[in-house]
Amino acid sequence: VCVLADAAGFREFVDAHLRDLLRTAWLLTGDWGRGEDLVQAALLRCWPKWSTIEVPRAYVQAAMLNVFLSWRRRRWTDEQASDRLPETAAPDALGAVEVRTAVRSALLALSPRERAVIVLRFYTDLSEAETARVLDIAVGTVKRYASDALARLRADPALAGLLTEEVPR
Amino acid sequence: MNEVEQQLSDLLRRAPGEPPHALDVDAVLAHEPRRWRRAGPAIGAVAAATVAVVVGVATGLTSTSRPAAPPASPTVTGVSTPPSNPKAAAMTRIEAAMRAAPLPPGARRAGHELPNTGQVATSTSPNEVRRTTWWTAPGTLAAAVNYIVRHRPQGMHVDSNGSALSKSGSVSSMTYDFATTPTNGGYGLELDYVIAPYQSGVAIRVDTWTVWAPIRPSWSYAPAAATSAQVTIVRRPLFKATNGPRPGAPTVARTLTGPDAQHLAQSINTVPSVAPEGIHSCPPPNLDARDTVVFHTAAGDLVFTQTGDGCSPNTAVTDPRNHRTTTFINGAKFEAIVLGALGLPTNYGHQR
Repeated sequence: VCVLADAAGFREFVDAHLRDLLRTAWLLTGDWGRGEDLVQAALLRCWPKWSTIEVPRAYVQAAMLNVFLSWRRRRWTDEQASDRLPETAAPDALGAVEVRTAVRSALLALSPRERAVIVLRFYTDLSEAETARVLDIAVGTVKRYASDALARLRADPALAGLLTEEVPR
Repeated sequence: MNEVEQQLSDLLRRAPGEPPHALDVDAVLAHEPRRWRRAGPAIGAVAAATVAVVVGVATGLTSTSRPAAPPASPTVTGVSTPPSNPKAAAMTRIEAAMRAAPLPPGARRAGHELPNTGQVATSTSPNEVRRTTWWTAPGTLAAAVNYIVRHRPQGMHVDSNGSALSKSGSVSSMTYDFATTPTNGGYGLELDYVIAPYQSGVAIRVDTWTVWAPIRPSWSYAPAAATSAQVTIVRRPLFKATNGPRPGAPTVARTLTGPDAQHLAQSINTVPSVAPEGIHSCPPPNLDARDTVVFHTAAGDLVFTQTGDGCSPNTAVTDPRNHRTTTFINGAKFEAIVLGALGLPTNYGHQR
């Protein structure tokens, strides 16, 4: 009965949070397929201990980040994931493809830890202290990663025009 | 948040769009990995046959794999029938897939490696088998990619794709990886392309590869004539929990006899073999988790030991009398069977 109850709660959690988990995973991996793998790997890690987890959202999120940071292998150093062919893609009216492509390429240019910090801080809205706890690093390290990553994102040509500094008057 | 951080936050929310797929929650609940993509296509004996069928359909070829002879001893029930030579069967599958690989009109086989086509997906398993060919074709990069995607073999989906950029920012190569969908925790087959501009046309690298599961030796099957089975479940925490849930549970040791022992033997005999995963990154365990089953028979003992680290668990089978060990048996399935036999939940030891 306990396991069945856990399964129902687990399904309920996945139903409620899957979209957001997948979107977070996409930001981390730049690819829906790998994002799915990442979410599933995190859920697989959490499910056996589901009945003991007090804050599932935070726990799964932390598991996902840990799994992501353990994926050290990259298929090649210059990979830029793309879901379109450069010669054939046509921009849509709202520019969603441009935003998607620019954000993805800019995030993929960051190191995995920098990317994790950026996603946790500015997508999931965690504080520096919360981000430090999830990644098991010092708050000062979070600040350094965030600062370095923001500097690189500002300088990224793909994001030029999308990130504009407020000019002091 | 300052202005730039707020803009970045907005961009991060807009960028992903809507996820195209749902996740198979049942696969998670069953503790069945959908696929172990990074460590090599997750594979099993049953799915190997499925792959052969898929490629056979795609190529119009008939698989040459033959059903295996049943283990000589002891009597086994519920065991899938892998090919008698799984490595040869895997080679046959990748050769067939290579022959079926679509290539743009006018493609010509190159006798050597071509530039900018070295970026390929690999597994970590020593049981990976791979076939590689290089081709040149007229036309543009986009035309070649479009042709290949449109003519991909039936039963294969786009598993991943990407592009590599040169220092000047132009596309130096593109990749398209196609894969069969593994079933029943089995292994898939990959058909991978790297396409790069070359002279006035394109260079194309084609790889077909998979990972083969070894045949489980007949002596590693649990004896149907087992008089008893001594089962031990250990879930000992390795670290002191400072806060949050504390894993671990009391060790359970029980001896099954008669029909209970024989039923456990039959169930364990349905566990397929898996390929060794090779060396890869794996998070450290927080629990000393071990499942041991010792079957006692008049002819001697057979010991099953599951010492998985949670990342790539395999079950070792040892025949102490004859000093024989095999390690490539699906640990997750074994664990589920053993816990079930004792009436323990699948998350035993992971509770506070």
